[in-house]
Amino acid sequence: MRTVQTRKPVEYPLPFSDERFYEIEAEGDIGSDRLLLFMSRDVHEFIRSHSKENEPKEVGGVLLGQYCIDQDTRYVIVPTAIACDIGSATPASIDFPPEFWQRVEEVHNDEYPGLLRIGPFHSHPGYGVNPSATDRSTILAAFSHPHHVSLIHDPHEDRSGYTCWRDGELAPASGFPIYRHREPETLVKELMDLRPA
Amino acid sequence: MPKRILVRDDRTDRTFEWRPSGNETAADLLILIAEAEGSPLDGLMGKLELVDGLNGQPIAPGTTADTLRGDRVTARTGFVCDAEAQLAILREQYGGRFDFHRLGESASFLLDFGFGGLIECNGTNERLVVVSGHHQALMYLPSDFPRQRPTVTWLTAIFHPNLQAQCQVWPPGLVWPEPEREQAPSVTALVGALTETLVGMRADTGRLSGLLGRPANSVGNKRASSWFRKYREEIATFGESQLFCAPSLGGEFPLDLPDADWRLTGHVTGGEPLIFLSAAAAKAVRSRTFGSGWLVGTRNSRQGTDWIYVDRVLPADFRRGRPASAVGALHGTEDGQAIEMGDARSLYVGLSPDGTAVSLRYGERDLSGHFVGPLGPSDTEGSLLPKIRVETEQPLIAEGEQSEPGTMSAAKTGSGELVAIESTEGECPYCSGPLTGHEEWHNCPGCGVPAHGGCRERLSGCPNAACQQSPINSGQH
Repeated sequence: MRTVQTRKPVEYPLPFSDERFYEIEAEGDIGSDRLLLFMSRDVHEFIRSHSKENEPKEVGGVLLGQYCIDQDTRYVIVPTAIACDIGSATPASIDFPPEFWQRVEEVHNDEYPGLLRIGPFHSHPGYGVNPSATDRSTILAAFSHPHHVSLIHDPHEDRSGYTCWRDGELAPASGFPIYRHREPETLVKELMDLRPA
Repeated sequence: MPKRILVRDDRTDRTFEWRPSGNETAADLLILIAEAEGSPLDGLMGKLELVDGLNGQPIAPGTTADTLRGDRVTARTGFVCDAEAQLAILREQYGGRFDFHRLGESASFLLDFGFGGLIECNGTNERLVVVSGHHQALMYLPSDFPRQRPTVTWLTAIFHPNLQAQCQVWPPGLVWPEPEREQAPSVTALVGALTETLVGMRADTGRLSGLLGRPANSVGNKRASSWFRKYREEIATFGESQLFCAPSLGGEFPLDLPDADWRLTGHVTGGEPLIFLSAAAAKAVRSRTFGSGWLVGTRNSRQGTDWIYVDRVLPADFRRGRPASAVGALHGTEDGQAIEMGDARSLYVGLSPDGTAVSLRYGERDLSGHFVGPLGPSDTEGSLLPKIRVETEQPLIAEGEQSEPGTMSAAKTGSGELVAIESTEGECPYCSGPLTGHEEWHNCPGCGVPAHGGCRERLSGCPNAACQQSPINSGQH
């Protein structure tokens, strides 16, 4: 299986090097040799609470952010996300209807031009953080670029993990750093300006 | 008449009489002692041990009362188990170059060292001083250990002013502290000092005898003493390179290493130095095995942000100054030694006062988080010590193949084939292994001393200390 290289990472210092990022903690163990994911604590808290409130139904949405490189380290920063509040959801599946994608298109274009759709997030109530067979086919179909990740949160275990592409295959689920930023709006603007629409 | 055994509990200063009714074991006695104390048994396991009240030898938990030799048993804090745990931690830190085996349930430990130490061997026309990579010693913990220091008998050939084969030895300069003092005695410090002695970093050549009131017999090998005086600096440099060689991380950012998981403990702030502790180093820090130690690893920087990878923790002798590959120091939790390295880019690691958390300081800055990562490369290599291996799956000689007449004979058994090598070209001075056609070896182009190619590679040169290609002379460590 091969992914298609359509986006190039833009140069931006790793959050570990930028003192505006603080209280960088980890959600689970961080796997190396893969696309690193840095997620805003606000986004992660939203996913956690949204998943818990809607148990046992699955919830989901799309992560927006930027695909960056610092020296040889490729990573994505996710400062914001759009939740899917429409469509059908069961304890074992979630459907992202066309209306949701229409809304994503609008919000993305109007509010976050320059950011990329980094990938989907959804909850797995009681099923762990590894993608299911259905998830894999969804990810393969719609998020198959090297900068794409897929995040899963299990509200039962209160644990999150993400998969990404590595050498054309989906890497095993891994933990990731969660950050706070002293100027979150400035960060979003900087990330948007890195890739003019 | 039922056996009656006098049990002395050294920790509580109480004496009991044990009257076993049947086939009770030493483990049952431990349960009774725990009950008498009102202590939960699981809290005592591993911390309490039984030793023969007369000779101090440990008693295995499975020993039955009727097979006990004497009628006196002493219960004491599990020093032998504790020593064994310390050695296990040290084995991880030495990255496959140190191993140990407890001899049965006794208080004796066979110590295997894979570091390069000097020995003498016969050359063509003269005695040669060569580097050997296999050394052994026997350490015995006496019945009143740790009040009394262990005894160490060096077993293998050695060329050193203070070490002699088949003799009791003690690392020069090492003081065995009183247990009541702040600095607790430990086998870690002893084995660390022994290792330093083996590689030549510690040596008392007797030059100052008399001036310091040392006994004249502290120098056991006068020829070695003279040799060490002559090449003092070269040996010290070589020894340091043996012990403190930098880990082979290659300067690569740890989060870019292939297939490694890192656990971030606490939190970090952008721009702060990033600290990566190998799993083995983190274990050593938490174990309290080391009063103080050197943090050996690599440091680098990216976008102005320093990062440090600590591969292992090694026993420290702070009188000698900081080794080049030490990126910081482990602050002793018990001996109160404060180490200042005089470098703003040095890392200091310790344990919080309650012993539950790792605390870090970089220069003057307290850090609130660090990564703990995969086993370092040295931990995954396995032991570098020579091993005896009998192939049972693949015969050394393929079926139908003729062995060279007169050189080998093979005995077939139901579980493979064992081939005796009856003719060799001599012995490799580094590993003491035979020089045969099964492993690449050659004579040194500089001095003609033969050695395995792998041994030369491991040593970064020729084992012959007099050869210009020896790491002792060439500086290629």
